[in-house]
Amino acid sequence: MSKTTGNVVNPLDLIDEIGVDGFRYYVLADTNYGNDGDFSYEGLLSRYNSDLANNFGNLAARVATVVEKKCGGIGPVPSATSPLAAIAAQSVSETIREWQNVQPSRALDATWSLIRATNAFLETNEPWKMEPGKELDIVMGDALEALRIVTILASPAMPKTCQDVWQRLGMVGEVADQRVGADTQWGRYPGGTSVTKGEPLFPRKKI
Amino acid sequence: MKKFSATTPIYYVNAKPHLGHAYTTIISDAVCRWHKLCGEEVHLLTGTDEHGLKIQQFADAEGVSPKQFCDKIAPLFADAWQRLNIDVSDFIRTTEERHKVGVQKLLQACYDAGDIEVDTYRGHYCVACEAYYTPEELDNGKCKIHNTKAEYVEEENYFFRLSRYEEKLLKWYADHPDAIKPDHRVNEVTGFIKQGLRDFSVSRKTLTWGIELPWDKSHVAYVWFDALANYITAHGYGTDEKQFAANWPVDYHFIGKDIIRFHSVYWPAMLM
Repeated sequence: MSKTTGNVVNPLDLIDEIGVDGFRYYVLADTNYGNDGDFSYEGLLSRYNSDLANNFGNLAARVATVVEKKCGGIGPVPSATSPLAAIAAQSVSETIREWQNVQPSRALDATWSLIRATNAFLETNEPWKMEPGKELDIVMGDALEALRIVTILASPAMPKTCQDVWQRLGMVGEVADQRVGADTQWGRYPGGTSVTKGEPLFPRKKI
Repeated sequence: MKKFSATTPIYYVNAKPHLGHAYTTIISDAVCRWHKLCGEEVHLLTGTDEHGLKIQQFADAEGVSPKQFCDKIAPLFADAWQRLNIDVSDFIRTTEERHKVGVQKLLQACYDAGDIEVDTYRGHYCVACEAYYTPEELDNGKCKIHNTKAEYVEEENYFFRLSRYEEKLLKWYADHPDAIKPDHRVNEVTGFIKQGLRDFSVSRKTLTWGIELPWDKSHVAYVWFDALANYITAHGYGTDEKQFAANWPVDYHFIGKDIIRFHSVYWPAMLM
């Protein structure tokens, strides 16, 4: 309905570069709704690398790699007393609040706080150095559960990628059919699913 | 099941889909998907705005009819939304019959209520904006947005008596402080209303590419009046009153900041 002069950037050209979900994420995450969007190509790629390649994509790849190598490709059960449980609960409630306030960038930031915490949790525990066994299973069960919750929370922004991750976690059905509330509670991941690594979700881009 | 219904602006087909269009549409889609995740039944309306002098001029320049011109551009928007994985529930084009019927009903209702009256307009008009401006709103006679000369025109128009709605609108915003987000835009809107509202023209006599006024076929509806009505015509206003009663009002109109005035002043007054 805007009858003002057109913007020169054609969004379709950017899709080829960073994918549909990379583009959707950038639009939603980079600007508080209601403030002026300040588009820059460098900003787009740098956010893609930091939030998607290095954070979400990296978490999904790490979890699947270790589960594949050290847990026989079968996801272990999460622990009810995980240090990530409280962080997840807070991330869920903040994400809910910000989407209700129509603040997608803040909602995604709240979701990404769980991704960052889970990556830090893995870096602290270094499961890639651990021997297979109960201790490793607890770490990986917790990381899988955090990733499952993230996948639900991030799905409105990145429907296709999140459905891919959902399947890689061995979950059945559609991530879009999950329910915020019931399905975002800690401990809903049953364990015992077949976890697969797949292609990198967000290959790093050169800036 | 709880319902959640939202709209994007309908996009003017003078340009192909660009970042600004994608921006509002992606936000609308993501918010709708969030509400679906919360267990709500979701509806997202988008579409294209196809009438007006500017479209006529674009079509003339290409040597095609305005309808042919629109038929070429409108699918580009539908394709772009499909590509961006926008879950569109309904795509309305203002050249559709259901829209025409609804706009004519709304025009007639406003006319019968005495809110639309004939008058002579004298002033400056920016074709690119499809809007009239006072000399103070122009920069040396040029439109501040397009930096092009706003032409002086004098013509018989029908006017919507917006000036009668100042108090009603201010009261409505006082009663609904959460109506506009983000919050600071509320003050912008109420500030604009308090400066005093001018009646706005709802018809053009010099143009044929538009929807005819039902009581005076020598005029077509002003594009903004025509376009804003999409939000109700898509939901059955004028064609399916049962559907309309069930689905109106929607929860959110997502808009860009350059069209706040049309949505926060003209549109609610038209509905009142």
